[in-house]
Amino acid sequence: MTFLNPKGLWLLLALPVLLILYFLRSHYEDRAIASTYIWKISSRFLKKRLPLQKFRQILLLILQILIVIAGALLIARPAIIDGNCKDYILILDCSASMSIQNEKGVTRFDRAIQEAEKLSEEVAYGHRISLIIAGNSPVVQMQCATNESEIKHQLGNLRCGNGSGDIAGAISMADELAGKLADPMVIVYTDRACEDKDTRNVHLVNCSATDSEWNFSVEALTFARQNDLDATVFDGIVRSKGENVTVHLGLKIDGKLMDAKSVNCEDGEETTVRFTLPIRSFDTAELYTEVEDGFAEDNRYCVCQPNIRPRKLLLISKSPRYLENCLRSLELCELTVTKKTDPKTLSGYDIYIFDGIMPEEQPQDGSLVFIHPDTLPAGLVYGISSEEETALVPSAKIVSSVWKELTMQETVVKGFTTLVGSNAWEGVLSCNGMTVMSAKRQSNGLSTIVLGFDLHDTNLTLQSDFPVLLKGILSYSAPSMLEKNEFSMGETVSVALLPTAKALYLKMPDDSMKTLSTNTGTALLAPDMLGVYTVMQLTNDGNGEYADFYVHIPVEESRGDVIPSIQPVSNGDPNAESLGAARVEIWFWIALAMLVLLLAEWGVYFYEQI
Amino acid sequence: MKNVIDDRFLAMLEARDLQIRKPMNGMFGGNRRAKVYGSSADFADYREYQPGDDLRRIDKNLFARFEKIYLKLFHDERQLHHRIYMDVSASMDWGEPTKGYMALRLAAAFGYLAVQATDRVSFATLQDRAVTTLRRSFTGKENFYEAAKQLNMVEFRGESDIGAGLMGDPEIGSADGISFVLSDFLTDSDWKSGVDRLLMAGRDVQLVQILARDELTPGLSGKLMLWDREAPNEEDVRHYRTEVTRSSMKAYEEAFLWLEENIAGFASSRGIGFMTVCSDESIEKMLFLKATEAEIIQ
Repeated sequence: MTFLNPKGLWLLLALPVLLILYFLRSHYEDRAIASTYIWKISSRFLKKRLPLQKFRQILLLILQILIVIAGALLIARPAIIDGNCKDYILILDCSASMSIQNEKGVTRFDRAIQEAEKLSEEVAYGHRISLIIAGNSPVVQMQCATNESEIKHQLGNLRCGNGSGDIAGAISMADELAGKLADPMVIVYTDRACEDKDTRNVHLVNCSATDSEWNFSVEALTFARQNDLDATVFDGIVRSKGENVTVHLGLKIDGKLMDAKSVNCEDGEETTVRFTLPIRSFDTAELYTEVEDGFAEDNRYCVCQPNIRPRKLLLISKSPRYLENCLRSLELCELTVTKKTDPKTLSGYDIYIFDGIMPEEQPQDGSLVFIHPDTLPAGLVYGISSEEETALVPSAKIVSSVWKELTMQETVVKGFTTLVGSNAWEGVLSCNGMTVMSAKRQSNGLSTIVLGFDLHDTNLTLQSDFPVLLKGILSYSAPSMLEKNEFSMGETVSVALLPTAKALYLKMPDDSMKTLSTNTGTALLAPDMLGVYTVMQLTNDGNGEYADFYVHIPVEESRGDVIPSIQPVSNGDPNAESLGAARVEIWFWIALAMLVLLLAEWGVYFYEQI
Repeated sequence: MKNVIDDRFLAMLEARDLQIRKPMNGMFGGNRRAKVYGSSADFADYREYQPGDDLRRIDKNLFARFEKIYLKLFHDERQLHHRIYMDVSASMDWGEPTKGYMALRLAAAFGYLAVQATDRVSFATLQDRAVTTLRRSFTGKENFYEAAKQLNMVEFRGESDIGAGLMGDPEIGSADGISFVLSDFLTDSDWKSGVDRLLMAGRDVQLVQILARDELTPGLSGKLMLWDREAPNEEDVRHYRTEVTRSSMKAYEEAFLWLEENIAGFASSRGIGFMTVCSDESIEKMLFLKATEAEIIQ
């Protein structure tokens, strides 16, 4: 048996008070009478009448003690556990939308914690609670916990994140955990519908606000250079969820307010606001509002201007005309053309393009591109050759995104040799299903690209895909530090390191600095703050490259969609039914016993009263 | 203290007399018929002549009729001597009016009835183990009034052993009157042996128990330490601690009934009169109802 409200047992402290009163009340009042003769005789008759008369007072005391005990038990709410421990797996949605608060300042996460704390009281009946935090990556916070205060302490220390909540992953994790437990109940405290929940013993608790909440979010900001106007146009996308509002928006360029506008937003509708500013370049642009809504973290959005250091490219070719012209037109690199393969000259570049040449000694400080070489780099061998005119198409085995824009329409090649390599080599272009262009990235970030055909034997140089292919080659060989400049919270930021990178630093939105490892060619970051980051890498030659990126609230979290079909938890206890059968409260019988004792006590007392 | 008698009180008693339930001897010159034949004017009986009898008593009519000599006998009227014993212990000084006061009034009433019938009366008090005579053998109303004044001076205190007092009374009398014992009889002393002594002396005995209202129906409740007025020391065993409950009250009533039956049974077995009165009852009720029912007064 256990007590649902152990504090009720403090009433037992009334027992010593009762005993003290009993002994105090034993005082006999003095009364003078003419003669006690008849009273003395009466004692004989009294003994015959009630042999246990002297025990009447003790009987009253016993009844009163039992009444106090019954009262203490009644308040303490004893319950009999049915013997079968019930396991509960709680999944707490820690996504950014759970931070949306109502007009009373109570967030959805606060409500989720309150509901979970209510459930944690069930451990008093022998149940166990496991807790999974559903943030970007679900984590088991507690497993089979039985200490109520510890559970509440853990719950109290939880904070909502700014990213998405992987509810599906958390449910899968709960499934794994459930395999070790006996038919646990999974309860998900969230504000959005979950998929596949019906196939499991999963209960959703809707933590969204029942009273009014609204949220205004700046969902995106883009910019485009208007050369004819010598200006830059900034387009911001904003949304109001919950109310029709008029909001004042400001646009800062590099921290300075440049423009402001008022925008009317309909509930649930996306609105675009445009700013045109006479600026050519900037580092960061921020669209923001200071309206007081349910969630302030999504009231701003930044864009960062990509900062790309031109790649140093060395073209080694006996007839470089097509390549040279095209490369120079891209304006993406500092091009040097040479016909020599002197090892002394083959250093200090980011990319080396060998057109029809295989040097005796390959440079180690840059990526390599071999166009129809005599010999192939290690790991690649020539396959069959063909002199027939064959269509050149993108390979079906393309993996890297840099090649995804290739269409290769009406591109043919006359004379090619297929390339056969290990799985480390990525097919880029193929003829008749056979790879004729392969690419491989090494662990140090450098890459090797091999074309199994001569550019002079193809009409590729005349196609619109040729610059695209060259851009792809440049991007693959010497990728930008960042693929993009804006990320949702929870996304992994991949920073491509230069082969000569000596040090890598990350400046956080709060201006603190972190030093990152340069052991691998790519550094993976998991930002945990919202705002603008700056990643900087220093190379061996003392040069540096930096890039800014912005981490924002995921758009779907800003929209704060709620579960439409489940009533929010503002007043109800969705767990009450499922928990009812786990214990038997015996307060009714105690109350009945107390009533009987009271009646008996009254009866004994008043029957003998005159 | 209030006077035990007043004119109204005496006026009530004018038409009453004590009831003598058995023939008494008495002194000459009274109004009470004695059990011996005497020389009163009231004819009693005939008997045959015995040599030595007074010739003046021969009934001539009977001789003429029966030619035998018969003597005419006449009742002898004697003067009786009644003794009234009053318990003057502390327990009698209780009630409203007090039992003692009513005892004195009853004593005065009985005394007046006696002197009214030209009998003699003695007032005595029972205190401790002795009898103290207040007024010895008086007669006539003048003496009665004097005696009544002495009744007014009686104080009720201490204890009384009725049995020891009666046993030791040198003036207990003989078969010449009624001995009244006025007490509450709430004592475990052997008063019955004292009464038996009176009976052995030939006295007609009347027991009058006077109780206070709160002794008939105690209005007590709760936990009480009952202090007996006659017990001076705190350690006296007569003091009684009890919790007055419904059951204890029932037991008290049973005890009271038992006591009454005990006294009444004793009185019945001895052929003596017994009545119980409450001190707050009217004197008229006591005398003209209860005393009449008890054949003390006629």
